[in-house]
Amino acid sequence: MTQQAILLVLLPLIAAFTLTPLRRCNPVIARVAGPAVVVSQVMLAITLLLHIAQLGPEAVGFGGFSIPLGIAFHLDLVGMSLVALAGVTLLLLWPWTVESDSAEPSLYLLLLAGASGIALSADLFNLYVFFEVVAVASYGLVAAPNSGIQLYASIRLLLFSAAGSALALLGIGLIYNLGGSLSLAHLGQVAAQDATLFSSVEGLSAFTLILIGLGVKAELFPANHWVPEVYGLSRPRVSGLLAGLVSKLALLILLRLLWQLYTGTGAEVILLVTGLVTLLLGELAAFRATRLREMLAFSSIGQLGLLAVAFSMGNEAGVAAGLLLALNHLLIKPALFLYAHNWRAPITALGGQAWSTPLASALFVLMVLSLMGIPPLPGFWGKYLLLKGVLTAPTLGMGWVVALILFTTLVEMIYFMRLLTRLYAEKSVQPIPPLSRRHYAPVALLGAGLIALTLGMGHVSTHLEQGAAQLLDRSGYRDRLIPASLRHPVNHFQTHLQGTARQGGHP
Amino acid sequence: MNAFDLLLYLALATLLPSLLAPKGRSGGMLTTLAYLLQVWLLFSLLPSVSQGGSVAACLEFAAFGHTIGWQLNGFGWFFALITAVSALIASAYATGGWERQCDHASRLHSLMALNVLAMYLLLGAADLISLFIGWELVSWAGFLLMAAPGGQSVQAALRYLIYALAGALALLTAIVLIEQSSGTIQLDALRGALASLPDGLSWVVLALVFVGFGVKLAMPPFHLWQAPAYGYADGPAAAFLGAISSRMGLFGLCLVLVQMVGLERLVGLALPFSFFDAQSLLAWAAAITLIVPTYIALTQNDARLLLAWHGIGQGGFMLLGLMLGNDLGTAGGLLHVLNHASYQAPLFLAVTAVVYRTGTADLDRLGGLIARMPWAYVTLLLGIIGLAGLPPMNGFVSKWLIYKGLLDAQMPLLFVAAVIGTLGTILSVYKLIHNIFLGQLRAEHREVTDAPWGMTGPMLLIAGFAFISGMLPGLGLYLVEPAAAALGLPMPSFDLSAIHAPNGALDMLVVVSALIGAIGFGALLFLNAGRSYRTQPLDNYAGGHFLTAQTRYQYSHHFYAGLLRVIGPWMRPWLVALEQGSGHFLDLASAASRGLYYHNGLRFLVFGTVVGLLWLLIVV
Repeated sequence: MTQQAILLVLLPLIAAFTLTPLRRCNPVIARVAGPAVVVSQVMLAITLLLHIAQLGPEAVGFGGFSIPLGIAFHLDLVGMSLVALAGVTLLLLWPWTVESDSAEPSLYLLLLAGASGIALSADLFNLYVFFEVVAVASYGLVAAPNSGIQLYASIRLLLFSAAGSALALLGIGLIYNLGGSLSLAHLGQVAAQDATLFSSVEGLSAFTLILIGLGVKAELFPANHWVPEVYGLSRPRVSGLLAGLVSKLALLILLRLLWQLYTGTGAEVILLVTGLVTLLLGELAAFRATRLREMLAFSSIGQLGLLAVAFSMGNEAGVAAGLLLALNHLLIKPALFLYAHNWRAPITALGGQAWSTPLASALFVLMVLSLMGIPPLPGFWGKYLLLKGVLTAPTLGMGWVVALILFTTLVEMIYFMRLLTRLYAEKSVQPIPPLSRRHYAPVALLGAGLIALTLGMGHVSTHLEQGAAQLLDRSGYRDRLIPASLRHPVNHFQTHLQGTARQGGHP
Repeated sequence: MNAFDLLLYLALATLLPSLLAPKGRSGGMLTTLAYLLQVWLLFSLLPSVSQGGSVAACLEFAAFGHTIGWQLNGFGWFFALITAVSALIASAYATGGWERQCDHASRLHSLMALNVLAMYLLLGAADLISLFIGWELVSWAGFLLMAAPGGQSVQAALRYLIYALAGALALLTAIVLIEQSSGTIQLDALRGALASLPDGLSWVVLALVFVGFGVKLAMPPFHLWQAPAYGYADGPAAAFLGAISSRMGLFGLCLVLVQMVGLERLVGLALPFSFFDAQSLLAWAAAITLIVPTYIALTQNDARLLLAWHGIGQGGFMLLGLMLGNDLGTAGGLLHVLNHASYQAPLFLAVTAVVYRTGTADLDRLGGLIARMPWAYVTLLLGIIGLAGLPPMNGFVSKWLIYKGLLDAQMPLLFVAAVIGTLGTILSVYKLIHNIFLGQLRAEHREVTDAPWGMTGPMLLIAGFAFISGMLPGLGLYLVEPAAAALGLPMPSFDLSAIHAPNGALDMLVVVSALIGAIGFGALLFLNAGRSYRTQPLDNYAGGHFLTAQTRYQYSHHFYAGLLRVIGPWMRPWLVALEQGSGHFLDLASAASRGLYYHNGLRFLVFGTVVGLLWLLIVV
């Protein structure tokens, strides 16, 4: 059954490339085909998710080759949920109204294929390839309307992404040089046998390079300068996708790398510091944002920094906090960007706008409150778990981390509250509807998802803890992916690799 | 389903009438009726919560390995009762006439009901998470109620919310620390559980809890928000908030300090390099709370702000009493919560009645209303006697208990501080009543009459309770008993009119008889003295010249000029400057951070990479 996991990537990938010729033959079918593929992909993902939730994570090798030669997928709760959520998000933000010759549906499918690949792949090579697929899809999406300003934005994104990809590739090369493999499980085994391998300057440099490289998409400092510009210029759907979905994908790669290879090497500290700087700069910059879109862009940076901090704790509470905050952000940010499309006037001109559409505005408030972490919304549980994670982490100086988290949260609360009080100010201006007609449905569904998450927190909490435990479970990951014959004792191939790596030679 | 469940459902249902019937008075009337039912339900809960019992609600859910539920004990019950009665009076007052001048009466009613519900959820918390949920709800509901009138009240409410949210973050951190050090979040299991924490962790938890709950109590240095937030709220809402809202902070503080940590541990927790232990530090914080806002109140020219500043100071009295740990201090601290509510509500309501009729609360633009609004005068008079803590009102009883408790606990300096606070109170409440009701009537207020009976009735009722419970303090102490029992604190023995202490009892009937005798004696002197004649309150006469009513002889502006010349230099608003300064600092930091993002994009990527790698080379 789990062999079908390959379809999660193949289905959207093939569809993405056949959609254009199909459109030539039959535009009506082409219009329906894209969403149909996503729906079937989501259904398959949910089936597999239920399977995994029952039987635990599984590894899937393809074509009868096993590690270290073959490539494999690792299906766990977090990865599979991300696949399903990616499909659902793309479906919610699907470009229903674009002209029939637009490339957007294909790019959506490409993005989905890349997202599934990132969520499931178990080796660095595939992760990098799928990451590039996602990156290409995102340039295309930003540039799709073909207007000058959006082309400019897409070129900015392209420049940063290209620089980031180069750095990440350099990092991956370094890791290959050190560990002699690109399979995460295999590298993990190497790291487990030689604890100093990845804590060397070379190893940590590799992590730093990958962190900065993937940090372009994960909106981490110092690679996130494109964020305010691109989110401010591109269409709300695309901003929502980049902030909500793509950033989480980049983060997931980092996390797999961190926990399979870099446990206890000090890489956590690098992620922590990066996260803290990102958090501080993002939230501070959002404090004086003049437009809602800009505020959301900077707050998105801050949130991603917070996620990095949560994940860098490396304990179950911290990881569960990161997962919950990521889910919260994935549900909320796209919807907020849709709101920001109509409310694009300077914030000072938005006085009293909330009164014209009470229900839509109430949903907006609910989402903002969850971002702020007000109980009993999911954001609160995220913050609670995060504090728990930080305060259980054995690292020194956690008091400062807590203080910084609290300070930035307070800053976030202040600017969001200023926004809300202005939206609810009593002023008679001509009302701007908060949402365009076609944006109502996705926002309502995302809001319903948020409410469902709030009400179902009891159930979700157990799965979150399981998911966090699976992410942190190194030996289980290795045992599932590496065939028993290769596990013990260490085979010659491997010792040879390590030997050459030590001497600085190339394997 | 037990009475506590019913109470929660009823509190939820109380939101409905004014939402469903936004126009007309039926919504307000139904809301008032619902509060009456809530009070009745609370009294029906009294047998089950007295002697340390508690009632669990069926509302509960599970998340992250915890069961989160609600359970009301005597301590929460005591505060809940005051909440319900305050809401009842405020709602009756609003429905009785005040809302005729208000364009958002239904919003006011529903928001007040939301506040009451939030407070029940806080007061009935069974664990730290439900406590936090209730706490946040109280903050948000309070914010909405304060912001209801719009305009300047929104700014004041926003300031409150920012303080409250900062406090809540500190509280959440404390909750996580408590959970980690003791392994549980159930309040019952946490009784005394924090007594064995190591010193350092204890101080951290204490500081966080103090910030968290102290913000709501508006303890210095977190006191700046409260007066404008309460004062600029709608009149009935101000009465409700002033009576009970900030006591939620006291509730939380006692829960942690008295119930979880325990006063013995506080005494044992010495602050390094000083003479202070945690208990005396808290007592002194309470004393500062009692003095500083009181003297700020003295300088106010808005009657509502003056009252709101006093509300902060009285919170200091309560905390001071409760920190003593002896029977008189406990009884005084808790009784003062009830007594304060019972005179602060009528004070706000009387001032609101004056605003209702004259349109202003500016103490420089009022005067001489005693003949025009006699019932408002009587209410205010009873209220300020209570606020100043003079016999025969109930405020005297609770303050007497606290003074005596201080002397019993051998804390004479704190006793002096309390007396200084009381002195300031007396001075400033005299300013209040003088500038509104005494002296020369202003020409524009010639036609003013008392507020309608629908408003006057409720405020007289509660002021009457403040008078009667002053004469018969046993009434109040009877309600305090379950609270003290739930906290595990001692209570003095008492009967209906007297409190027995080992070295001297207080019998209020004797005090009141002596007082009435003295007043009677004064009246006799007055009646037998030389002839007196009546003048019009508009009349004005000075130095042989007859002046018109437009020339004011009433001395109201800069009322205590002499005193302020002495204490003024100590009252520089440096904290306000600090608050504004942090705002500016945040603005600056934000501008800097934005500047970083709008310039030099790619250069930062390269620079960051190089610096990161160099740092690795140095560190590893």
